[in-house]
Amino acid sequence: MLRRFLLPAALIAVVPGLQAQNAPPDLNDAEVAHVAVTANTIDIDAGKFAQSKSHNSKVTDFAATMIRDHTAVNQQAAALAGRLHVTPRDNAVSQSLTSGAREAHDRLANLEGAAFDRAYMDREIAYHQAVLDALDKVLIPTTENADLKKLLTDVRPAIAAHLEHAKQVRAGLGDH
Amino acid sequence: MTRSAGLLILGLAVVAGCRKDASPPAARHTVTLQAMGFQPDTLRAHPGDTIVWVNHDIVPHTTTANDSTWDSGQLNQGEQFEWIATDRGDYPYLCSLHPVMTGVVQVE
Repeated sequence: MLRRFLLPAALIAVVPGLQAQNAPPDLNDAEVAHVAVTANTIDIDAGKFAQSKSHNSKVTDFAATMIRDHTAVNQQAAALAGRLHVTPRDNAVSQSLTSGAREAHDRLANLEGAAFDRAYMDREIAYHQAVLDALDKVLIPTTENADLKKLLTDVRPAIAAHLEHAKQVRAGLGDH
Repeated sequence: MTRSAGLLILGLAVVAGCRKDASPPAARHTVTLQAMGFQPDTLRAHPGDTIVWVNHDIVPHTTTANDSTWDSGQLNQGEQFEWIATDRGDYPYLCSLHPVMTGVVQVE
């Protein structure tokens, strides 16, 4: 069994359901695996939603990259979980991530055109920054299982590149 | 065979043996796609060389010349793409899926 993890404030801040908690939650391996899969799935779904709403090719291309990359990461995570005989287990953090994603979806659903594009890209920037902080401050440094640590380390550059890509796209959208 | 003719043949053989080709023999270079980057991101090659891009990253990538000289299409983890350099010049390229990933092949 792997150690338990504390989630950083940045990840909690981007998930409304976690903000009310007094102390950051801690997770075991099976729960971390579930959080990882959930976090990827949320961004895949957000990308599909953006593709259905946006008419800006920069935004839809970015969304396609999110779908492609996070699907690849989830496939790797599932394969690793199988090798480690770990069954991802639902937990409060995964549920809060899902709840936060649903709220974000509802906010985005009310927007159209350029307003939607800006809000979607703002959400992607905040989301990837939060995941990056979680990787850097807690998940990678505290993971002891070599395979899991390698997966998290391998994913880290992709998350950082997504963040920079999102900032580039957002900068091209302007403020109005 | 006269002595002078023999020396002439020997001299020609020595000259031929010492002659160098204008360009070195074709080489094979490997660029690794890893950690959201091309490694090395700057590669020097010669006409006739083969450049091989291999994706070792966790996510799919492409190698796509800015001027469309080559385009690998999507390379999943473990897949590779080859391009043979013909003309001298600088060939900047990127991953069309992740524009923050850039590199250049300098054919000299």
